[in-house]
Amino acid sequence: MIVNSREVEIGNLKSEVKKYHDGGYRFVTETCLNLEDKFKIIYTFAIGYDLENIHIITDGKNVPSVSDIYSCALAVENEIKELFGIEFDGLAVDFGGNFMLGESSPISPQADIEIIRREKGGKNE
Amino acid sequence: MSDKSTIPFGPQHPVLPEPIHLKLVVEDEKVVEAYPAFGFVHRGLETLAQKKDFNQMVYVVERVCGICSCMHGQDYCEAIEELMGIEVPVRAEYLRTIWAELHRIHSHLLWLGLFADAFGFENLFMQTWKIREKIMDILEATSGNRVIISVNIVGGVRKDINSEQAKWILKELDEVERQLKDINDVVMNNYTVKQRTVGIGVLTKEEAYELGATGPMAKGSGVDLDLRTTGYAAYKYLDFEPIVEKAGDSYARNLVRMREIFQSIDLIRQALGKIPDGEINVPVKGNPPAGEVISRLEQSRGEVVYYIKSNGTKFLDRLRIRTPTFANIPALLKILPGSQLQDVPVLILTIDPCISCTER
Amino acid sequence: MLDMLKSVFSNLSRKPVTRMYPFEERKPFDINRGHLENNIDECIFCGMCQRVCPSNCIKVDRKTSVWEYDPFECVLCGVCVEKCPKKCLKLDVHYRSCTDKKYNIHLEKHDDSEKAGA
Repeated sequence: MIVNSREVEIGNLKSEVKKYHDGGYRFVTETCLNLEDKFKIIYTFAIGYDLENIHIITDGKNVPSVSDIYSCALAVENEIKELFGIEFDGLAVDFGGNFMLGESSPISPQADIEIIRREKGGKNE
Repeated sequence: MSDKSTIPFGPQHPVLPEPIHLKLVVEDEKVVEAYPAFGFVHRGLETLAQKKDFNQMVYVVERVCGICSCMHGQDYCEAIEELMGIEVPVRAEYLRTIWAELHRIHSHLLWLGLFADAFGFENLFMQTWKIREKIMDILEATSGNRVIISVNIVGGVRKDINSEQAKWILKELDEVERQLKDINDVVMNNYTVKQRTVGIGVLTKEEAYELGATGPMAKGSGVDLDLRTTGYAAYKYLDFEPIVEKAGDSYARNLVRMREIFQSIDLIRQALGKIPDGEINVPVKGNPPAGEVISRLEQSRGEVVYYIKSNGTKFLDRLRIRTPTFANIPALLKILPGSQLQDVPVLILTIDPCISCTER
Repeated sequence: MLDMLKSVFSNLSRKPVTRMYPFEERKPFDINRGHLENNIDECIFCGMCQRVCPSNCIKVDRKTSVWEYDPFECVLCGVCVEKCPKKCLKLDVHYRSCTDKKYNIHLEKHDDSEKAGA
């Protein structure tokens, strides 16, 4: 399926996602892309066998987490946080950089630009 | 009695085929919280897509996971073909379906063996793996390799199945089905199996849908989602119904997988009966045009999502793989709290975890 | 409780499913991808195998007529065999035996054989 995604303002993100949630959509995944000096995050939802995509453009700071609406989003948001270094606000469970990476791993290995530095020994229980 | 203690489970554990680490907070024998940690086999394959030719990537994505490797390659090829507007020959679609279903059978048998091993049923483990060996022989005889068969290329498939091989496959499948029926009684009715699976790890239909579970995990809870019904590859020519069980416990997921094996045997028979003659691949010229595409298909563990963004060169801008196990991890974290410590191996294996899929 | 009995009895009366491996080997299938071989006398050092290889395990030097191959990086996909214009690469059905030391396959075409060919 050729992707046709609709851009959403960061401020409206949660209300848009809530609409999908209340409309009976299933959360599929989030995909993070490197743009020039920004990031694009695509949210994919499905109802039945049909997909719908929305996306936001962000500089990587204070992205609202949707894990309080769809709790299953916490896995993928933790992954994006570690691999791209994007900061999510209000993650339901924050693995503190120990979800995908280890303590001696490179920081945000998939990102073109660096957003956060992980504190050493910031191990979440 | 509120003494909580923390037990590390994995990364190396006798029941785990692959490394996953779980921190289990237990109160006596009861698990109250579970925290996972992954990343032991993270290889950065998504980043590798930016440095390899899109034709070479087919062989790389096959190595995301050893068990459903053929279907990873198929999904990747279908995504690139959609982007480039390539029509795959009908024979290639059938061949892809046959190999995918063979992979589904061997994946489910492998899982069944490991699952039996997780609750100490060594005999069942050996019987299932004995049957699985016949499927591996079919894969080796038709493709040249046992597990990572590398048959898919952009534009079709590389190997063909001739009529002699087709006859031999049908004969072997009859034998597999006969042996499976003996095992089937054990999985469905055995006292030991039932004691360890019935009512363990219950996931309701609403929870499964809400947590985005896929594959047998969702089907076992009554969510009627099977991407094969959307008719990719040759499924549009074949006749089948998705298998759904209502109970939502480990036993129901057992039944889904067991019945799917028989369904796959039936699908291969149908496909080998209907397969038309013709070309098996079309030549691919040029690079994929700039664009974004999402391609999905039903693997043995559930729905896999490939997101591809290309920029018009031979290198892809972004490849993202959402594997079925990744989608089932939230469901696992849902069913772990409240369970008994002795059931934890059963619960982990009931989602059919593929950790190298999850981490890529 | 006795569901397994049927398979227990049928297994008792049958010969073992496994083989005594080093003494008894299964005949490999005809299209088995065992290991890669290059007939260096026919090789023209075009470098096609190097370009298509997904694991970068082949190195071709046209100037010195050297074909180098790392069998431990090779994933045995067989794509080089398909693309070889002279068909001098081939996949043998037998696997390489295991070893405790890594090695490279280094093949060179000598000048005299080149002259003889020309």
